[in-house]
Amino acid sequence: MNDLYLFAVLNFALCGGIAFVSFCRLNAMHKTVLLRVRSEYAFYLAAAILSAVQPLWGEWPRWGSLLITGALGWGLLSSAHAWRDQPPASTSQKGSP
Amino acid sequence: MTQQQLDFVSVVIFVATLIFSPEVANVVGPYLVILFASTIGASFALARRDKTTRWGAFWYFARVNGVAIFLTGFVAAAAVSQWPVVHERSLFAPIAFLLGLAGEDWPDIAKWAAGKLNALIDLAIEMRRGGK
Repeated sequence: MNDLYLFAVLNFALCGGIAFVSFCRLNAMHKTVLLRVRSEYAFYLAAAILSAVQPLWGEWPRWGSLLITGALGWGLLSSAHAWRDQPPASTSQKGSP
Repeated sequence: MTQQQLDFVSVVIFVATLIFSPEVANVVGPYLVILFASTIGASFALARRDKTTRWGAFWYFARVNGVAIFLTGFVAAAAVSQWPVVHERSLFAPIAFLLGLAGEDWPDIAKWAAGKLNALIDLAIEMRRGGK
């Protein structure tokens, strides 16, 4: 039983990180950012919050959940340099090809 | 007599048992769908806004989400009283999403709605004149 709680806490921490990064990027966006980019981070944020509290409806995260959550978090961290000051040009309508 | 463990992991597990307890689940559970939908809506509202400090953005997000979570039940109940065919629970997600999406742009939305209403009334008057 303790293992379940430990996985839940780790999942909570990883989802919290994803939610934080998504929140900061949504805050950095402006009106010219593409709808698909906005919706991407909106879903990341909402899904991360819900995934963090999934034991509340009886779904306990295990290795698989932690792996995909960790991979998603790593992906967000890897693109941090592109989002340092403002959204990358490729995410806005003017910058798109 | 068993000795109580007080290492970091045990404390974390103890806190987790409190957070993920069935009592909390019973209270919070029904609001999770509303939270999910209003968070997506509020995220779009946040992205529409000019960049502010993290705290400023956090309070804006919390306000918009809080209002959406608070009002969704009332709006759904009012809608069902008008259209009894629709089930109240099925309205929670779309209403929470729209309330979150509106953010704090209610004055602009009211202006837009008033403009549409005016146009509709003008059209009705024109049609009545044309019918005579």
